[in-house]
Amino acid sequence: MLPPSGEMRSRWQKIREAMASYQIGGILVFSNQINPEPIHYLANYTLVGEKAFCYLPAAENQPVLFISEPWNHERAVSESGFKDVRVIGKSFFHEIATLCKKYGEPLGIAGRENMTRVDIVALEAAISRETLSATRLLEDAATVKSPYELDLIRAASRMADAGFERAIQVARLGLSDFELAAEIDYAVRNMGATENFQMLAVGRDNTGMHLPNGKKIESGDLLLFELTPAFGSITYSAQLCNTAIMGNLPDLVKEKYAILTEALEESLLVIKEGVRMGEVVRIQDEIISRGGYGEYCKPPYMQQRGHGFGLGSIKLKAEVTKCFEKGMSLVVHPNQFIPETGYLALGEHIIVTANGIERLTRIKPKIYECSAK
Amino acid sequence: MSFVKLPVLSHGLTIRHEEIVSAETIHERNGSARALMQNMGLDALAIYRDGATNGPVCYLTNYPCYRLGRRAFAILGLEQGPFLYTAEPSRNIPRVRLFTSCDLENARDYFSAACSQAKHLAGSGTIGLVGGERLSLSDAAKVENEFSGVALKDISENFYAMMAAKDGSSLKATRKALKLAELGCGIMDEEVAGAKDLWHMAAVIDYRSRLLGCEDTNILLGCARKGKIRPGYPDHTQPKPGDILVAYIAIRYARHWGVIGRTLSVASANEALTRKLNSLNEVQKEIASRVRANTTLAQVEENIRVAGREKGLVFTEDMPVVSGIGFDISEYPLGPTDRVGENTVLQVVLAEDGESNDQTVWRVDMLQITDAGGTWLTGQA
Repeated sequence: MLPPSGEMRSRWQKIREAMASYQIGGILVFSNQINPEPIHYLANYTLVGEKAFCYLPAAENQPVLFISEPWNHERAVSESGFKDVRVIGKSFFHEIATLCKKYGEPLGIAGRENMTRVDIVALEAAISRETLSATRLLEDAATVKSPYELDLIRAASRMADAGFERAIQVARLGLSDFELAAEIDYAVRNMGATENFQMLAVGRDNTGMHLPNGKKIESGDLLLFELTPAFGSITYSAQLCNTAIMGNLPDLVKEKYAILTEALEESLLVIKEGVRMGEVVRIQDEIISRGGYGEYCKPPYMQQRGHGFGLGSIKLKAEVTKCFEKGMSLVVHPNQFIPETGYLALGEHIIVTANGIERLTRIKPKIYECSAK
Repeated sequence: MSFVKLPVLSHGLTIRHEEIVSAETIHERNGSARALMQNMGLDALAIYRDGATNGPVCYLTNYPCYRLGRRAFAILGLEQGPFLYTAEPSRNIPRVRLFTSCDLENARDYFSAACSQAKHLAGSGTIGLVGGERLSLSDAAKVENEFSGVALKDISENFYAMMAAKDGSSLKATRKALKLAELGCGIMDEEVAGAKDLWHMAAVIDYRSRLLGCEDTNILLGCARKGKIRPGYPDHTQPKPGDILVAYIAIRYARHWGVIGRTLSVASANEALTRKLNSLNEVQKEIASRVRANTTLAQVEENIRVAGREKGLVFTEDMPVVSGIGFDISEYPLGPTDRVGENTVLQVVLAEDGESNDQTVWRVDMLQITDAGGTWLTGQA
């Protein structure tokens, strides 16, 4: 998937401006299988294999992509559109040293903390000086999304909606949780989802989301969903959290879910550019505490009330003093453990605007009743 | 080099599979690890893994370091353990016994708690570390700090070599996984005649494999009319009649990977391709008699290359011809000097581009190495 003309240049420009304030001469972005997002952001390269690096000089020169798998070279050239794509070989560290000498020092590394010590030592020996961490620099540059990136997230959100609709359509007595997960996956992949981080829970005493373990749906079971299709990169993920029930909805569950719905709606009302992120947590915790569940608003029951994905992600925690900015994208989820009902899931993906939010999720925040077919 | 795509987001059926990996097997594996500890004069073992290479922790506990927790420590004493520590344990604790063979320790700082447990078990003795090379810069500093003043010995290579000799349970799980991969290949055969693009073909294989209970898939596809073709992250290329399609289908079941790679012609049979595939198949048959246990990976590769050359096939240099496979798609033996022991399972990639890179043919199979030679697992499941 090629980004529109100008998209990559605009990303590099943002990073170069930050490099000037960090006083670094070049940035080396590192990705491995655990953190593939940075290389996708800088080089539009979908990591296959062990690792990749991308070197971007502070000067207006073209970046260089280094990949670990020689057999993927042609694809890396076509995906990135880079003229200079190299395979990581024995001379890799010296090649970086040459680039640093040519374009300027010191070298900042985004993902430095994820590299192995052996690699860092070899690199610093080659360039004869210490490297600096540029992880924060890259994360900050990627926090506010471009119009193109927001479109990818909107598309991912439509996939999440479709996945949930598919789940409600196919859920039936006796269907296993892993079959349900497969149906959702297939629905979102058919729409182009690159990945789908997915958890669900089926049962009456759920304490949270789990890996599918073969549980078959029974009458009265709550079905908890957390769908997170990604479009292009995990950075462009959208999450939908919701709850369904096999059969009729008991009043008790309806009543408790209303607390979550209120927490979601009230917290969404305050989000706009300039508002402190911790405010969302304060509002949700206050409403849920008023309902009598304050002690379950902290770990291990609750970690955070929302977050972004991949590179430049943000976290909604009470102590976060950072403010929302226009163009940020995140899921807001008052998911909550309630002793009488078990864990309940509810969350929507949004984009922050100057005056409020754009709600991406089209699925209504309510408990869906599945008929016992 | 590795064929792994992206972070593995395993959310297929993930259960204990005790019928395949019994409690007795896990007990025996822990026994083997303790025997290794005794041989090397160790009093405790600290095994670190992440979501990309979960093998050694999985070997002792059946715990998959899937993306959510993605980092784990297994701590083993000479008489106690294994003790399992993972990031974000609260999510897993309630149901961990549905998929692991031991409990999960409830620790807010899993890293520090795991190191403390290892120190406690070792007393004034020596701790063996497995996975030191996987530690990130920041985690390596933590390890150094946690084990400051403690006798620490990195025994990763020895542990990986021990694990590479697959036990009966691992071979059984591998065969099941391979069977699913072969079914996936069959699905590809059906789909290639249809109007689906590579992306949708991969989606169908993934879907049907998940319905059959696999834990995860790793599907790479490539397609072109001629020239050098490599499998890759599936895109929206629409195969046309006369195109050549190369497929790499890996399926994980009961924590083990099964893999198959094939070359398919789209719609019409291509005589030249058929001839090349026949030669490739002949070489594949020949290989089993050319390999032996207790050699190095480089020797195995050389024997395979020689077998190819004898049939006029020069295998490509840009892909790994042989590498270990099991709990992870790429595991020991990986380096040229790594030992290939009895019951090691290898992924064998036979890829040939033609004299002027005119047409790629390839196949990927799984080979079990024994003292008597090699046994192809492909087609056996």
